[in-house]
Amino acid sequence: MTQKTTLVLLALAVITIFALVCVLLAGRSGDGGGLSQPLHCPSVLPSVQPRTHPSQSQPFADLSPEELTAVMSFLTKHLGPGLVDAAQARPSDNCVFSVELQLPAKAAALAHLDRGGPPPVREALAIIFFGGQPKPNVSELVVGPLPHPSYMRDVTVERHGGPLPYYRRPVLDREYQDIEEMIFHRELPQASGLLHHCCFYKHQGQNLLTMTTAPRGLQSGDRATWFGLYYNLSGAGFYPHPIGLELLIDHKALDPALWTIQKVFYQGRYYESLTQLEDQFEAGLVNVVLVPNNGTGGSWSLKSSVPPGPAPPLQFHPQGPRFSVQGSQVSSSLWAFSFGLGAFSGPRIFDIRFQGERVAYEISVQEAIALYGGNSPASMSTCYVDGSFGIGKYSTPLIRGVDCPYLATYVDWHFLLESQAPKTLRDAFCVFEQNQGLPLRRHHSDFYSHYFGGVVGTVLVVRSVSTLLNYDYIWDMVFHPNGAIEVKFHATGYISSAFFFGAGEKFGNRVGAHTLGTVHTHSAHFKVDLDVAGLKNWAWAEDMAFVPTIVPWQPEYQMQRLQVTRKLLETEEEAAFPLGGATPRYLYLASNHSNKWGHRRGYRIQILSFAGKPLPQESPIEKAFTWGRYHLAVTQRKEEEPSSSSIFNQNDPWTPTVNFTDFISNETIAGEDLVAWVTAGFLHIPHAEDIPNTVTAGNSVGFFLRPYNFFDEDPSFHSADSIYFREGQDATACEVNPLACLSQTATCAPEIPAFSHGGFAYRDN
Amino acid sequence: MNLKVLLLLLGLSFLTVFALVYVLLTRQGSFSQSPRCPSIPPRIHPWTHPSQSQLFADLTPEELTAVMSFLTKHLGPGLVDAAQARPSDNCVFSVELQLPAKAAALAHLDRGGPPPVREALAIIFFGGQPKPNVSELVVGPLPHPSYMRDVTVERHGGPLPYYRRPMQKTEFVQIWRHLKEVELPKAPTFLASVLNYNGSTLAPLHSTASGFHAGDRATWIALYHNISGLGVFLHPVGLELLLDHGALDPADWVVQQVFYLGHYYADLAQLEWEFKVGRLEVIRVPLPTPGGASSLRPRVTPDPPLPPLQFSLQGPQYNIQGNSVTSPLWTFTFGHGVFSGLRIFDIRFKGERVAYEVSVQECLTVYGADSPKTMTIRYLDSSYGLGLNSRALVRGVDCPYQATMVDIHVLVGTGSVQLLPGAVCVFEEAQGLPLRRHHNGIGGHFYGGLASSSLVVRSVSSVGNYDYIWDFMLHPTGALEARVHATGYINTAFMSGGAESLLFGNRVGERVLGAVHTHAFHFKLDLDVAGLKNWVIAEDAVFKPVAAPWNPELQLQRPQLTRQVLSREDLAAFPWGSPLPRYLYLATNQTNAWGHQRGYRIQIHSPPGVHVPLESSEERALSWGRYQLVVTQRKEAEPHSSSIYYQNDMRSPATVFADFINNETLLGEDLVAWVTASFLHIPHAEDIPNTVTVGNRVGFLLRPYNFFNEDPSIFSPGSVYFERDQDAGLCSINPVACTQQLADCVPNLPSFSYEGL
Repeated sequence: MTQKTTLVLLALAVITIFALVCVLLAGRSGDGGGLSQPLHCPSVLPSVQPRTHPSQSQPFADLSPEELTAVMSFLTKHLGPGLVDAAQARPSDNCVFSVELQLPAKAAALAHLDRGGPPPVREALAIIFFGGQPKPNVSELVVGPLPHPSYMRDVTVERHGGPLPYYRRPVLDREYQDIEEMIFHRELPQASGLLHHCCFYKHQGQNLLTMTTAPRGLQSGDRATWFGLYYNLSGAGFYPHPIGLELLIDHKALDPALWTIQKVFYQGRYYESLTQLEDQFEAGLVNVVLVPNNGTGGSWSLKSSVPPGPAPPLQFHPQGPRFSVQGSQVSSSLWAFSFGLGAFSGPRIFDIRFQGERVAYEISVQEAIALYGGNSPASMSTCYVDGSFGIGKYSTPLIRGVDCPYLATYVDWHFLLESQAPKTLRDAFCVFEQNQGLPLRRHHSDFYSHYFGGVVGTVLVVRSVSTLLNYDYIWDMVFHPNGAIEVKFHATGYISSAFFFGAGEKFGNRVGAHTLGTVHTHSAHFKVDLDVAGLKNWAWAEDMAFVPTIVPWQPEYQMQRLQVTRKLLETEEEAAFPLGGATPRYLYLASNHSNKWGHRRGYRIQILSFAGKPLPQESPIEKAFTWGRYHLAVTQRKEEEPSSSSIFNQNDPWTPTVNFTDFISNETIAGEDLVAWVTAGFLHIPHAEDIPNTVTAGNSVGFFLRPYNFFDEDPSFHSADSIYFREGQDATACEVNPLACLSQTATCAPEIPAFSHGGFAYRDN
Repeated sequence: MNLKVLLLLLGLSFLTVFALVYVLLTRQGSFSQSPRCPSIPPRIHPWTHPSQSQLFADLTPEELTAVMSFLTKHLGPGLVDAAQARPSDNCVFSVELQLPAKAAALAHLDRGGPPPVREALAIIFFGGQPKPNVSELVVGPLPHPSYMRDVTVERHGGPLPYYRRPMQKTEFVQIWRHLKEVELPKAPTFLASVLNYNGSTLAPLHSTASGFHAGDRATWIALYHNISGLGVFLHPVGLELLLDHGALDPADWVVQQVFYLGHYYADLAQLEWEFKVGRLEVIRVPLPTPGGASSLRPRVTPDPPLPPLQFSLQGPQYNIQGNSVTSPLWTFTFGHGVFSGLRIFDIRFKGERVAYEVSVQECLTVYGADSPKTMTIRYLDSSYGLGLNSRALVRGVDCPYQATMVDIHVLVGTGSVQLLPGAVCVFEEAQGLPLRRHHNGIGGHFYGGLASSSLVVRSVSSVGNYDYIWDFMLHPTGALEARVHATGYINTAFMSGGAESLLFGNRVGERVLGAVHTHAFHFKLDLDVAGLKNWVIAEDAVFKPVAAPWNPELQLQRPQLTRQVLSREDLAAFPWGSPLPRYLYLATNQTNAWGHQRGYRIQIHSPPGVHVPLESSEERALSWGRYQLVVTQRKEAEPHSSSIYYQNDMRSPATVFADFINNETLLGEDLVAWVTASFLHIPHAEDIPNTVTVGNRVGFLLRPYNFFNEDPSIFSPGSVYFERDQDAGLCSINPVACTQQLADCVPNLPSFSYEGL
C-alpha cells in the first residue's frame, strides 16, 4: 500500500468519522431521541409497597390476612366446638358471619398520630350468628389485641342497648342456597306444566334464576321474601328477563324444611301456591304470556357486536408516577391519606392531609339504598339497603383500561366474610393520577398587559366498584391540587326489572317486549368527619340577598344591592337541612383560627345531587333510613354514633337498629368536633337506553369539600404545574414554558404492563 | 510520515468508524423497538367543495373582507375604521355570519334544495348622522356581495338609539385617554403620594353603564394598580370616578362624581384640595411586586416529574373539515358567534339530527359591594363579545396536548379581519371511567364494560377578569353535554371599611375585598327530536299509599310516575323556586320499539338560581334569569334571548325574553328549550391568584330518553367482554389487552406553538 493511498484512505476515514459524529450529534439534539434518553419512561407502576416496619403504623388499614386468620383461630378456640363454617351454616347453627377492622377510637388515634403516643390497639369486630343458642341472637365481639388476640369483648348490649334479635341478621349465602334448593327442587316441579308451557322449563329449572328482594315482610320478626324468577341468559345479565313469576318465601324458621311459599304471583295475578297456579293453568284459567328465553338478540348482551376500532387515548407518566401507595397509605407531594373498605359500609378514607395538615379524619360511605315502585309484588316492595348486603363485600375486581385507566395502580383487599379463612379480592382498589385536560385555573390577559398563566389540572383518584346484584356503583374519592376533595358515585350495571303487564307504565318504561324498567331512587349517605384546623369547629351558613338600597351618589334613586348573609348554626337541629327545603348556598365548617385576612379557616361542603323525593315518614320502613330525610346534617361527633346505618336495618326496618334522626338532638355544634352527614342521590326512571345496562354519563352525584378561607391564597399558587409566559417571551422555548419541552421530555414509550385482571367473584378463590 | 504510523492511524480510524456505525445502528435499532406512535393529531382539512354543513360556518377571511369592501364602497366615504373612530364618526362595528333561516337550511340539508344564500350581518355605528344611530345590515350574497338590506326596524321595531351601542375598544381607549389627560392631572399630589402614580402605574376597570335614564352613558370607573404581567384586578386603590361619556365629542365628557374611601366628591380637584389641606383621610397603597399574589408565575422551578399526559395510540377518531367535525358517531358544525360565543349546529348522532342548534346566549354577572363601581356591575358579556374575547388556547393546559387547534377569524371594532389563532380546540377525551360496566357473579361469570370517552369542542372567553371555559361534549350514548367552568381573576373592590365591607364578600388581600357576585349562563337548545314536531313531557315520581295486593294489612308507600304533556308555553316555564319535574323531555309522536315516544331529556346541572329581584329596574333585560327552564315555540323572530344592546340601556329594553312566553301551544311544534345555569360566588382567599375550575362548573345534559330501542353505545367499538373461562389477556378477545403492543411507541407530540400574545 503506498503512502498516498494510505493518506487518501486516512483522509476518507477522518471524513467518515466526522460525518458519523455529525449525524450522531444532530440526532441527539434534533428529535431528542439521543443516546442519553431512556427509551421507556420511568416505571409507571408504583407497585404497592408493603408496610415496611411497624413504626409506620397504619391504624386505619384493613385487617391483613394474618390478622384475620388470628382472629378466626381465636374465635374458633373460644366460641367452642359448636361453631360451623358460615359457608355451610344452617340457621340453627352458630357461625362467624364476619370479621373486620374495629376502627380505633378517634382520641386514641389522634394521640398517636399527633402527639406521638403509642399506636392504638388494633382490634377486630366479629359478628357472630348464634343460631344454636336457646335464644338465637346476633352478637358483636371486639377481639384484640392484634396480631395476637388475647381477649374478646361482647359489645352488643353496649352498642345496641340489648341483644340483637336473630331475625335481624343479614341473609347468608347458604340461606339463599337453601331457598333456591327449596324453590327449584321442591316447589317449581309443582308447576311444571305451566313452566314448560311458558318458560322452556327443564328439570329443576336450570334455565331460571331467582333474585332476592328486601325488606322481607311486614313487621319486626318477619323473614318473608319475594323472589323474582328470571331467565338465565348465558353471558348476559339476567336482570332484564323476568318471566313474570314471583314467589313469597317465608324463611323465618330455623329449620329450612319448615319454610313455605306464602304467595305466588304470576303475570298479574296472585295464587296461594304453585299447586293452585298449576291447577288453574290446567283448567285453562291462566292467561299465559309466552316470554321468549333469548331476549331480543344481541342488545341484551355486553358483548360487542362490532369489531374493535382504534384504541382510545391513553394517559401515561412521562417521568414516572407522582404518588406512592404503601399498604393502605397513599401519598403524593400534596396529599396523604389512608384508604380502606368497610365490609358492609364500603369505601372510606382516613387522616386526610393536604400539605401535611389534616383536613378530615374520616370520609366514608355509610349506606346506599335503592327504593323501587312497580305493579308486581317484588318490585313494589323492594327497598335495598345495600350496607346489609355489603358494599365492600360485593366489591368486584377493577378491570384495567375500562374501570380505571390502564396504568393505574391496583390494590388487593383481604376479608373474612362467611368463611373460615381470609380471602382476597384482587384489584379491589385503583389509585391513579389523571390529567383532566382542563386547566385547574387560567387567565389570558389581553389588555393593560399581555400574558397567559395557567395550571395543568390533574387529580389523584382512589376508586372501588361495588356490584350489588344488578347495579354497579363506582365510588370515587378525588383529590384536587387546590386542597379540594370530591366524593362521588356513578351508577352503572343492569337495571332491575319486572314482568310488564297491566298498568306497568305507571311505574316506569317498557324496555323490552315483556320487561318493565321499574322506577327507583338511588341515594347514598356519607360521613364527613372534617377537622378544620383542629377538632373544634363551627358550622357557618352563607347566602345571598338583594337589599334595596338608596343610591349613595344619587339618593333620589334606589337599587337592589347584592350582599352576603352569614349565620352561625348553633345546634344540631339548626344544621339539619331536609331534602326539598332550602339549603344555604354556602355551608362550611370552620375553625376559630383565622387566615391571614382575618377570616375563619373553613372547608365548604358543596353538594351535587338530584335526589328524588324522600320516602314519606308514614311508611313503616322509613325509620330504617331516616338519613334520607336530609340533604345535609351536622352533628357533634360521638364514638357511639359511628355510623348512620346498620347492617341490621334491612331485615328489620320496622325497628331499626340505628335510626339516624336520633343523632340530631338540640345539642350545640359550636366549637365541637363535628361530623357532616351528606346525602346524594337521583331518581331513575329506566328507559330504553338503560339496555343493555345503565351508563355513567349523567348518573353521577356527590359532593365537594373545598377550602374556604382555609389558606391565605390558593395552594396551587405553589404548583410546579404552573405555566406562565408573557408578551415578548418565547413560549416555545423550553426554559420559558415547560410544555414546550414536552415533545422532547416525553420521548419515551410508556411502560405498559400486560393486561391482567383480578378474576371473578370472590367465592371462587 | 512513516507508513506504519499512517497505517496505525488508518486502523484506528476504521475502528472508530466501526464503533460509530455500531452506535448509530444500535440507536436506530432501539428506535425500531420504540417507534413513534403512528398517530398524529388531525389537521384541519380545508373545504374541498361547498358542502352542506358550510351553512353554519363562520365567515371566512375572504368573505369578511368582501363584506367590508362592499360596505366601504356603499356607505360612502365618511366611513372611518372602527379602531380609529370617534363617537361622532360612522364606522362598521362588526361583521359576522347571518345565520340562515331554519326552513331554508333544512330544505337544503334534508330535501336537497339549493343552499340558502350566505349572508353577513353588519352592525354599523352611525355617529356621524344627524340622528346618530346603530343600524343592522344584512349583506349578501357571499362571497360576492351585491346587496345590503337594513333590518334594524324589522328586528328591533324601530331605529336603534345610538346610546345603546356596545362599548368598543376604541371607546375604552378614549375613556382612559380622557382620564389620563384631563382628569388625573387635577390631583397630581394625591395620586403621586397616595397611589404611587407615575403616569403608567394605574389602569381603569369599568362597571356597567350606571345611569338611571335611557340615554345615559355614565360609567363608574375604578383605578387599579397596573404592573405589567400581573393581574390588575386584584389591586384596587380605592379611587373611583363616575364619567359621563355620553357626548359625541370626548372633549365634552365629564366626571360627575369621585369616590374615595367611602366618601363622594365633586371631582378630583376637590379631592386634591382636601388632601393638600390635610382634611382627607387616605390609605397609601404600595405598588404590587412582580412576584406578588396576583402573578400567575410559577413559584417553584418546574422540575420533574411532569403531570400525566394523554396521548393518542392510533390516531383520533374524528376529523375536521372547516368548521365541521365528524366522528364515527357524531357530526356537527361549530361556530363562534362574535357576541354570543361558541355554538354548534346540525348535530347528528349516527346520521340522525337530534338538535338543530345548541348555543350560548348570554353570560351575566351581578355584583354587590360598598363601592359604587362594583355595586353597579351587571356585566352582560355578550355585549363585549364572548366570541370576540376568545383567545388562543394553550395546548397542554387549556386543552389536552394533542388536541386539534382551530383558528377563528373575526371582524369587530376594526376595519380588517383579525385572526384568533387556535381559539377553538377539538379533542377526544378518555375519562378514565367506565361508560358502563357490569361484573357478573350470579348465574354466570362475565365482565362487560366500555371505557368512557367523548368528543369535546371547547373555547374560552376571557371577558375582562373572568375566563369562561365553554365545552360541548358528545358522548357515545347519544348524549350531548354543555358545560361552563369559570376561572380567571375575581373582580375586587378596595377594602376601606371594616366589618361592614364584609357584608359584600371576604377580604382576600391587604386592602382587597373579593366582591360577592352571581354567575348566570343562558343557553338555547333547538332540539329536533326525530323531526321538527315535538311535544314537551314532564315526568316525576310521587309516593302513593297502597295496600299490598297479597296482604291488605300491609300498607306500602309506592313510588309511581306522574306524566304530563305540557301543552302551552306558560306551563313549560319553570321559574326558580318552583319545582322542576325531575324528568323533562322533548319527544316526537313517533315511538320506539317499546311504544314509547322517542325523546331527549334535558338534565340541568345547576344549583338554585340567583336572579335579581323582579322589582329591580334592570330585571326585564335579564328576564331569562327568572327561569331554570323554558320551552317555547321556535320562531325566526326570536333568535336570541338577550341582546348586545341591553348592556348600555338596561332599563328600557324593547322586547325581552319573557315576552317569548305567551302561552302559545307547544303541541307538535318546532320547539326550543332555554336553559339557565348559575351559581353564587362569594370570593375567598383561595380565589387568589385566580379562581379554580374545581366546583365552579354548571351546565346541562341532553340525553336520549326512549329515543333508541337500546343504548346505542353497544355498537361502540372498544367494548370489553369476557367470561371466566376466556383468556382476557388475549388481544383477540379483549381489545384492552392490545394496549401493551399498541402503546410500545413514543407519543407523537407536535412541537409547542403559540401565537396568542
